[in-house]
Amino acid sequence: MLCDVCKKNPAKIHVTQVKDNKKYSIHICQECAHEKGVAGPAINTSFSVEHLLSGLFQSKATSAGTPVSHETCPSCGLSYSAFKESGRLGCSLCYDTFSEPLKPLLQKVQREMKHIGKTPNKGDTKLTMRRGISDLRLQLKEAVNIENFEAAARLRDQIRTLEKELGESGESPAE
Amino acid sequence: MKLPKEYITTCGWLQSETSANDVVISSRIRLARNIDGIPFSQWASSGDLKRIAEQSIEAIQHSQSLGNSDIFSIEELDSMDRHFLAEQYIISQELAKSGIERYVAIRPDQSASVMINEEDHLRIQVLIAGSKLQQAWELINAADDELENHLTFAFSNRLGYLTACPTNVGTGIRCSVMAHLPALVLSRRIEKVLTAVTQIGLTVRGFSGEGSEIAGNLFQISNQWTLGISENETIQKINKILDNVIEQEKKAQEQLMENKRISVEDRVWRAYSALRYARVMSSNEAIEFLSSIRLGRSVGILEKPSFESLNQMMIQIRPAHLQKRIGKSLEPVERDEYRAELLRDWIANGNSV
Repeated sequence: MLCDVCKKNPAKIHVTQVKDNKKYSIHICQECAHEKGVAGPAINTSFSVEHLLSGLFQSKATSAGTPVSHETCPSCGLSYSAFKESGRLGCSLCYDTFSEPLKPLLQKVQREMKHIGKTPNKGDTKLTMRRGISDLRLQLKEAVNIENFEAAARLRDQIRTLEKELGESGESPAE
Repeated sequence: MKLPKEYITTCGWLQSETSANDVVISSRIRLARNIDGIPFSQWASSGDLKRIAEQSIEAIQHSQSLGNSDIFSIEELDSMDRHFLAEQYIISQELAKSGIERYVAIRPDQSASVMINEEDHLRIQVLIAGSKLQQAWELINAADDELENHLTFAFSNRLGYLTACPTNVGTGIRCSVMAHLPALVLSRRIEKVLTAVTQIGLTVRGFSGEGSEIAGNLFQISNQWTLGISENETIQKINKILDNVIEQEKKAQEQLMENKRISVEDRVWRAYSALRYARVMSSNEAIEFLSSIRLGRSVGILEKPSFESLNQMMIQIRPAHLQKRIGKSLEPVERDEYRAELLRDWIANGNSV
């Protein structure tokens, strides 16, 4: 199988994603992946190829108008349909990712939309940092969508630096 | 790994003569907590599950109120021990069925426990006999603070504690009380009372928890809302409705004794004779008979057993408890025979468990 991008080298990286009951696959060679900033030496570390490529699976027409938050959580990779099926969210950042679709559900089962109970003694600095990473991931997805791979590579590095500061491996549960 | 001996017979947390109450059997509070930055347990990788377990256990061992807890790996407990803990409500049925990287930490007096890698990373729980929600809250709130010294919980200023299921987000609290309401059932007023309860953000369930049927006139009242309501208000709300339900049950008992005394006495003494002489007794039958005995005690027809002893018996007649007691596994038919024998001895020998 040849690389989908250069159509010359044998494809080494294969990614398949099922979305809305349709299967999307992409096959690219190591060189193209590297060149596009898709896969570096640290291919298996802070985030997966799937994350980086997820934008490529959509046609331009749909990706432009759809809010990113309705798709998959950039932090844990959970899709909203997977949440609907299981009733369980993937990670704490899913509450940001799916804040819009979650609204009617919370309104139905909860009294109000604002927490008025106990607050941890600690501040939520770590969480704020993670939110920052989450934002960068969304930007990264957008950059890949519009095939701005230079920006994508830069954002990827920023995310890695932040994650290092957090001192966490940031493994993705999606694999 | 086996459960130690002290777990074999009595249900530790139910053992409390002072707080035993004729209508309210038990109070329970649980808090759902997750460690910030790690996916929720259901979607977590095995490495993440391990990380959650290690961090949680370390935090538990460093906490004052939970520090000397026994910690059991669910995977290493046999099926009998898991069911035994579930029958005492110390672990959930869900956790009993799980395995790898699932743990439970149990305080020596069994009043508090922490399930690790259940639906949420940590499910902290306090169980107390009688109507003791306020006391349970003080205990669990302190334990939560202590765990928080070693863990950073996923929390947002807007949505509160972030949980795997959005029905728990906010306070992550579930307060429940188990009440015995036989007179309201007999006088067919229960539905009206329970409808009123469900209209103010509370839910009612059978005694085995979610999705279970009502048996033995036992009802579990718990909060539904966790967002837009504080922990204290949640507890006050339940206590207020509980006072009202108790009052109505007592009124219904008085009316029954005024208008249908013979029929109530007949019900109580028939239950007594069945427990005293029957040779085969199913779980459901036993629960219903024990309910009638409890009613007999509430309205003064019987002088014994104590409410504490009745509470214990409701747990002791369950399958895993029977089998642990006799020390071997029993077929369902053998269990029904052994249950009848246990209840006969209990009634005949002054109701000591």
